[in-house]
Amino acid sequence: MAFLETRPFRFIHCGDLHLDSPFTGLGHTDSDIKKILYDASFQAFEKVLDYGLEEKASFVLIAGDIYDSLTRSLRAQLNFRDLVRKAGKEGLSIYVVHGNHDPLDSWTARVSFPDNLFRFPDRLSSVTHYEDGSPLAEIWGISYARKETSENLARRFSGIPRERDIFRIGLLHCNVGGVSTLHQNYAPCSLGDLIDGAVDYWALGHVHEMNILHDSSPMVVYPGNIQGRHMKEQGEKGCFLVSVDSGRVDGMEFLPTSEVLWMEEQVSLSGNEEIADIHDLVGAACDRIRSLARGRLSIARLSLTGTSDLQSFLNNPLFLDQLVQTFRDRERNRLDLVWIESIRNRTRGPSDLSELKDSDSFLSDFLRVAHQARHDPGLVETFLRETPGFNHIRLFLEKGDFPDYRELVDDAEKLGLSRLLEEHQE
Amino acid sequence: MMISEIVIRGFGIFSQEHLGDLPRGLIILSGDNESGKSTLKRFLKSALYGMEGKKGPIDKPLGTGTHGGLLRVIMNNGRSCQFILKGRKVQVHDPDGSTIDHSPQELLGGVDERLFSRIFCLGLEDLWEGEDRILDEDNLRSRIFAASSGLGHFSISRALSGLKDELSGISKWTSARKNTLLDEMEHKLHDIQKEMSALGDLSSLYVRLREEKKALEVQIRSLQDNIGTARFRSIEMKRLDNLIEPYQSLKRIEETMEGLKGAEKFPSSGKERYQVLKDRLMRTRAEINHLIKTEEDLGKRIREVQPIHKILQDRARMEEMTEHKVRLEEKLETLADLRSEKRELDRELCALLEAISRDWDLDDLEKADISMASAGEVEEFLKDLAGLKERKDRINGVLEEIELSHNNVFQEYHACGERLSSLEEDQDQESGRIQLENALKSLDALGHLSREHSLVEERIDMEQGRLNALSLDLERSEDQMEAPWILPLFLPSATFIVSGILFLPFFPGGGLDFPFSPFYPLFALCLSFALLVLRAHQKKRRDDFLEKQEVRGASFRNEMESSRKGLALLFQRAEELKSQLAFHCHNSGISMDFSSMDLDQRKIFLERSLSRVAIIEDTRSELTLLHEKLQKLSARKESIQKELSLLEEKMDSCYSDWTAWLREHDLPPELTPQLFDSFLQHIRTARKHYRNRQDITGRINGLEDYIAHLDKSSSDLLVSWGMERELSLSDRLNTIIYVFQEEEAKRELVGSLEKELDSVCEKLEKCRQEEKILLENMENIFRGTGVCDEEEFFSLHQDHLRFMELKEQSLQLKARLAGIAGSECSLREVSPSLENCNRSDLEKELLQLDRDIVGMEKDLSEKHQSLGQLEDRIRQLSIDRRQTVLSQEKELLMTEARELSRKWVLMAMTRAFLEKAVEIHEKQRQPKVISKASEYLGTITGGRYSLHSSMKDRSIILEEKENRTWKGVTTWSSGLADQAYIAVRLSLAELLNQNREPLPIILDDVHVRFDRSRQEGLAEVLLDIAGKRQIFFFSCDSGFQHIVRKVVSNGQMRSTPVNVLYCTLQDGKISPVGS
Repeated sequence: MAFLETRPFRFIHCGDLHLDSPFTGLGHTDSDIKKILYDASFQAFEKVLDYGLEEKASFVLIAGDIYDSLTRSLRAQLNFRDLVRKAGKEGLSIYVVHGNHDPLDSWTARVSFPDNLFRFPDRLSSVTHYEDGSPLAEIWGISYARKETSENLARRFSGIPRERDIFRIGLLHCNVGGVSTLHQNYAPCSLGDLIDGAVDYWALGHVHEMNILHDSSPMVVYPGNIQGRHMKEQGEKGCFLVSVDSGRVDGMEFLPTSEVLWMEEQVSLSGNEEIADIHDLVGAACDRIRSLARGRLSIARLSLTGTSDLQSFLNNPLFLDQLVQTFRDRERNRLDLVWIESIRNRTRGPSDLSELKDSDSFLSDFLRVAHQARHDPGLVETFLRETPGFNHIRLFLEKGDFPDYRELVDDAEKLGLSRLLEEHQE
Repeated sequence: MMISEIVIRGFGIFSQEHLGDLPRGLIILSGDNESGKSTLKRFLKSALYGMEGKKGPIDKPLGTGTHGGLLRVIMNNGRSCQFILKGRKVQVHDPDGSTIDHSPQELLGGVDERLFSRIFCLGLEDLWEGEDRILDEDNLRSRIFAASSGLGHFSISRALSGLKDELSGISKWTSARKNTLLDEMEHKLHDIQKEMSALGDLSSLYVRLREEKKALEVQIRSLQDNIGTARFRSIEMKRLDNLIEPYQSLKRIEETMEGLKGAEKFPSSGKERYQVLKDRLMRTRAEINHLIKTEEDLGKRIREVQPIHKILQDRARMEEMTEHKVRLEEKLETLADLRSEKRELDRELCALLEAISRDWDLDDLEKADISMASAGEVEEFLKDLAGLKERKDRINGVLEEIELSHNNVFQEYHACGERLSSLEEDQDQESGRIQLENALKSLDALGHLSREHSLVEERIDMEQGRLNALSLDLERSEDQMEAPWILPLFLPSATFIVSGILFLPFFPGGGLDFPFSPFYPLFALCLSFALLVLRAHQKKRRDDFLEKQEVRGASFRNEMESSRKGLALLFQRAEELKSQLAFHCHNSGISMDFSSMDLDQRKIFLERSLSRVAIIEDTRSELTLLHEKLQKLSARKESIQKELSLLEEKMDSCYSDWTAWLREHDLPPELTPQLFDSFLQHIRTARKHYRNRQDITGRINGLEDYIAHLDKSSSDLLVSWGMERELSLSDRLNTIIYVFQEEEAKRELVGSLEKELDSVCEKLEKCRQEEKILLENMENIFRGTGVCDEEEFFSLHQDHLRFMELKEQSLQLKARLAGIAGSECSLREVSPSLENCNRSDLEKELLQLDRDIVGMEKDLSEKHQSLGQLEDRIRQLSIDRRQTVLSQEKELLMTEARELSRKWVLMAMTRAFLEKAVEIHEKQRQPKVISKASEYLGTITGGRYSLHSSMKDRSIILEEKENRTWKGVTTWSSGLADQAYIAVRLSLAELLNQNREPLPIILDDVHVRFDRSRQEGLAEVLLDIAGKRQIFFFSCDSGFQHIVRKVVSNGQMRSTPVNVLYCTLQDGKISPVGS
């Protein structure tokens, strides 16, 4: 069947708004920064809608997880409604499917939404978007009825007739081929399930990293979330502006929406032997991050790398805490501030520990114990279990708190050495 | 490796210094403080490892030469290289100058600088570091443990306890009720959770509120409808109520209008026209009255203002009087001036006469002869008198001065006398100057003597003590005279015999065959010989001992003898001193048992008495001098008084001559020669004033005549006008002029009044004619309206006005009723109802309706209020951030808690590693180190001590071998602790470097707390180690070189010969002194 003669149009594709969900992985924070964090997700969504209006997009697609139903945030629902209503007054239509964080059963009888918002039900449905009386695109979508949806929803799209005379979009919240292990495997499907369908553009949600899984027809796109909420969601977050002409995708542009940027930066200390040098290098790293953030608040984790003779300082948590505090104080009154989340020491000392390990000294014994622990996690567990207070501590620990066991042993080794050698710094 | 050559271009005190051909062995560098030992140690370390990354100075050269230097090094494998220090960096070159790829650390067996500093380079500061701390068991244990572990002065227990403190700060270490960081966080989290629960489900609340709002809105709408209906009904009722009253009023008005029908045709402007005519008539009549009154007034005034013709005829005389009046003013002023001038002259003349003489009058003034004034007689008189007076004044001045001096001296004399008597009363008569001086001298001598006496007594005590000690020593020495035991002489012989008897059977032919039998006699012989030798040795030792004891006893006895002699001399001196003390005590008036305080008090008393005696003597001599001065002043006063009386006599004779002279010239007798000049001046002035007075008197008389004439003529004129009055001349003249002018004015006024009267008469005639015409017109109006008089006319007019008013009211009421009813048609419709309507019923019904409406409105307002509150709550909910804030806060706290927990895990692991390492070290490593260290310590202490690791708690203890006793670290002396520490460090260096490049050891003044034998032991150890590696030993004690030399010479039989190089260091110059 031949495509209808439709004029070129554009639409916005975003997902995983997670409005009003808290930022995680931040310790003590200033009240001014907290205020920014409270509103960051809303401002990011406002940006999405502003892009839609500025770029004269015909509609906006939201691929699930508008907010976290767990928090049952009324503020999220009301602000979402108000922003949608505002966009509706400007003539912007919004199409939504619900994901695992905002399944349909969590939306019932909450807030009534304006007419420019179309929510897909928990069965495969379609809606045709008209503009000036002419059809532009046919949008197919399906929402999660409840959170635990393990069905391959993509397969339901196979029932759509293949013949079409208009650009067709599939709007779905799913995990394609286990593309992300960081996310729970809801509505799992394979890329093949999607490519084989009668859809021209797959507007997906669920994975928070921007990812184009298939860049020719049909396009399969994850835009990622619109605002990073922890250190694992680093860098620019945003949405896609998709241009369609003659029934196919003519161009895609990633539009940044983050109000707060999460960044990780490495600072090499090699060749710098003074404490003042560390301050200069950290300051320079902050400036680099600032230039990337372009006036926005950025939350940075700095890793000190390279070789340094200042191990006794660097391995002392107090020194690093003071360094962090110094830079927080220095940045405090800036509008484009860089809030240092933490500074981690990943430097090596100038002397070769393996030489020391082979010597006949106490240090060598210590290093050998650490070496042994590195290869025997059970040993460490025994050590920890024997330490009073561990039962209390384990209540606060989570599975992913120590992603790299060897790194933890390295840190303990460094801390031990610094405690052993700290009184002998010349 | 070994350092074969040291070249220092410039480094601190060193400049262009070179030390070559260094041996693999022991290099001893001796030098005083500040000779450069520590600098050289720093140079060696810096040349091996550089100074990069270090703060602080780089030991810039104090003298010439650039900073830096080099070390030539020979590795164990025979390879040579150079370590070159440039600035803070070290470069390693081959001997040919090419750079070596290996880093210094690689060449130095992987030992980094830190390890080198802790193990191979040991200074005095390493031993004494922490000396100010309490050397408790833990500290010392830690020190030894640290030494054996290669950590320098490190306390492992401090590291462990530090970690434990930090861990227990985060989470509970024991069951103590201390609040940890994690506890605090838990509390905070709990609070947040509680707050979140209290907040509840905002979404449900929002939905509920919205539903409530909708229900309320429905109720409000229904209430609004009810109110509307009630209001409509109320309006209807109110309309009826409003109509009733005007409707009834209309009816009443229509009835009244019927009664006033006759006045309807009254002309519309009739009353106005009548009123105009009446007003004009009234005005005309008022004007007529006014004109009549004016006419009367004018006639009356004309009659009043007629002039006196007699006066107007005397115009010529009046003009004459006017001229006199002008001149009279001047003449009166002149007369007054002249009179005042005359009075002034009279006053001055009186004053002059008073000044000349009280008894004189104007005649005496003319009579007095003043012709002799120029003869110069008066001047001579005056000259004589002035000379006499001047002299008298001078003499009087001198006399006053003498009087004053006399009085002053007399007062001084008197005061001095009183002072002396009071001093003499206080002074003790017995104590004269000489006695006091003698007492003071004795007092000084007493001080010296008493001190000497005390010293002598102390020495006596000491000597007695010494004597006692010597006698005790002697007794002890004599007690020890008992000689040590020696083998008895019979023992070798007996041994020989017994062995002979016992082994007889084994001798050849003794019956027994034994392979070694021929040796038994020889063995017995040897044994008895050995016993003999042993006895001889013991005897020699006993003899030596006895001889020594004898010598010692003799020396004790000699000492005791000399001590006794000294004691006798001291007793003698003490006696002498006692007698001298008694003599001086008597002299100074103090008892024998005085104390030093008594001496001081007595001395102060005597010194005070002596100073008082000196003051009395001075006062007495002063009194004598004052008496002499008084006598001289009295004599001088008498002579001057005589001279003064002679002078007064001369002055009296001079005054009698002057009186005679005055009488001769008719001059006043009271005139003094001094006042003569002023007298002459007064006479001349008075005579001049007298002549002026006579002239003024003549002029006054002329003026008085003129005034009298004028007075008479003016008085006559007024009398002729019939106006005789008592007036002054001037007033009279003024009256004449004024009266004449008045009459002139009257004549003019009468003329003008007569003209005015004519005009008034004319106006009056015109007004009377107008009045007549107006009365005729008014009559015509009455006739037109059919009334007879004004009263009827006005009554008719009133009726007409009333009718018109009612007509207007009726129209207004009709319009109002139509307005209330809605239209005239509606009004017609309700008219029947209005006719029958009962107003009170209507009002009751209306009241009830109003009440209902108020009730409903109140209800509505409450509902509106509730709605507003609901909307407010909904709005608040929509902007409520609490949920956001709380969930974010919870997340932040959770993160902080996780961070803390991670930190805890890290520290707990570190602590566990450390504890495990300590356990391993103490089990495996430490025994080796301790064993080697024990060997070294044994050598250093001459075999007295050995070092052990306790099996119980693995602490380090010392064994004193001789007594087989154990010494815990608390009982170690500082020197012993140093020795143990060095032994452990040297042992560690040995073991650590076993399979690698043997690095040189650098030791700096580590032996300062060693006694000589231990220094020898240390030298032994160093020589032992120096056989295997190079040692640089810096010492501030040059004696250590001798010790090493001695040890070297004693150990010639050493298995491996050791090279030793002896050097001295002085002001940065190194000089080898032998090897």
